[in-house]
Amino acid sequence: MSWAVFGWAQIGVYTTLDEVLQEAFPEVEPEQQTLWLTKETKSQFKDELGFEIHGLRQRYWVGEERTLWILEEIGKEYPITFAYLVEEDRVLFAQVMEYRETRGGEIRHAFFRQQFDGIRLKESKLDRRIDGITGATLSVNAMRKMAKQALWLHREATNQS
Amino acid sequence: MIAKSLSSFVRRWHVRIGLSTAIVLIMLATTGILINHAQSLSLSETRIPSWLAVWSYNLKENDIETIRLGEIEAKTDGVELWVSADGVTHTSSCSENLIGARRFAEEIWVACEEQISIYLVETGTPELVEQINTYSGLPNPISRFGACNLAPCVESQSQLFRYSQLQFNWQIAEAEDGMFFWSEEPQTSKAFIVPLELNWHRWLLDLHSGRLFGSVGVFVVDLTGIALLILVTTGIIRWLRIRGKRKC
Repeated sequence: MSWAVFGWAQIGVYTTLDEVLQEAFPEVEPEQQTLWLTKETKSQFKDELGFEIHGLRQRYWVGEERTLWILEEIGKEYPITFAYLVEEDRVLFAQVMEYRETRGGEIRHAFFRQQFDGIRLKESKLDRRIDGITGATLSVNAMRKMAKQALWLHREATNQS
Repeated sequence: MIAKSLSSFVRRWHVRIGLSTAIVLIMLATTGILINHAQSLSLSETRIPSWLAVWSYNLKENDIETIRLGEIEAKTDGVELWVSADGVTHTSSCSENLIGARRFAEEIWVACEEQISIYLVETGTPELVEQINTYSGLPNPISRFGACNLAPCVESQSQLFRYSQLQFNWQIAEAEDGMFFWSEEPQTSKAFIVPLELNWHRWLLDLHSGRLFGSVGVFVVDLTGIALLILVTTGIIRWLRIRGKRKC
């Protein structure tokens, strides 16, 4: 029973879109844009990162030279909503916006998220090791995976514009 | 004399135990091999058929909401969303109830209470373009979905919103702004939906451990484990005796 209560306590919205936008773009009004993912782009993505990207269109916010990506990935059973702010091919911050799993919610804590600050893609891998959390392996993997996706998409969006 | 009767006793029970546990042992060996290769056989990605799920897990019928748009059908059980056309089904997620669906040029928009899934049906088969939710600026929760002035529109918390295809955002609309054509309401029916977690890997694990047959199944597997130990022991005893005789 106590485990169930503890588990449900992890489910929730930890930051709203407005809060993330305010933190990401404190001085400018960000513009929402879309990145079209053609068959070639998706194929290139899979070849480089080793997993598939879903959908044909990805929304993001852009302001100054920064892009904000809100991405969802299934941890074990339910999607986790992440936000990644990227500038000059490195992550400025990573946030867990909404967590829906019953276990693994520790990834929302700053001590874990801050490991992503400044991280880059190097030969299709994150250039730094991200320490895991016992009992939150799948959520940690989801956050790592989406960090790679955000960095890749930022590069693609920058190249296209 | 004692050694002979002990040998006969061991042989008799070795055969009896072997025969009585043969079926369970074959099942354990087969499922064990398959479980070992679950990843390469993609067993976690294939759901078990609904009849097997009903038989194995006493699956209950789910409420299914369906909307048809000509050849295209959108169905949900409140968790997953299936959009089918031309014999091809695309599976994604649906949050809560299905609210409506509508075609806009080459796109089909399917609205659930907290999320809209957009599909491209240019080629006849549905292809997911994107899913939008509160994090993409979608008003939440949606109570009605439809079209106004050829653009997607939603009603949320008694407020109307129209989607701007140019700015990719939802803008407040007034009832006087144009004609609103709300989507028809979904039809509800009952069907067996096999959750994704009920895949072949899970089924084999449950069969291998005996959990599929409740506590009795686990007990039988435990007994078979003990029987296997006895078979090994009696087998070694018999082999030693035969080896001893041959040496003499």
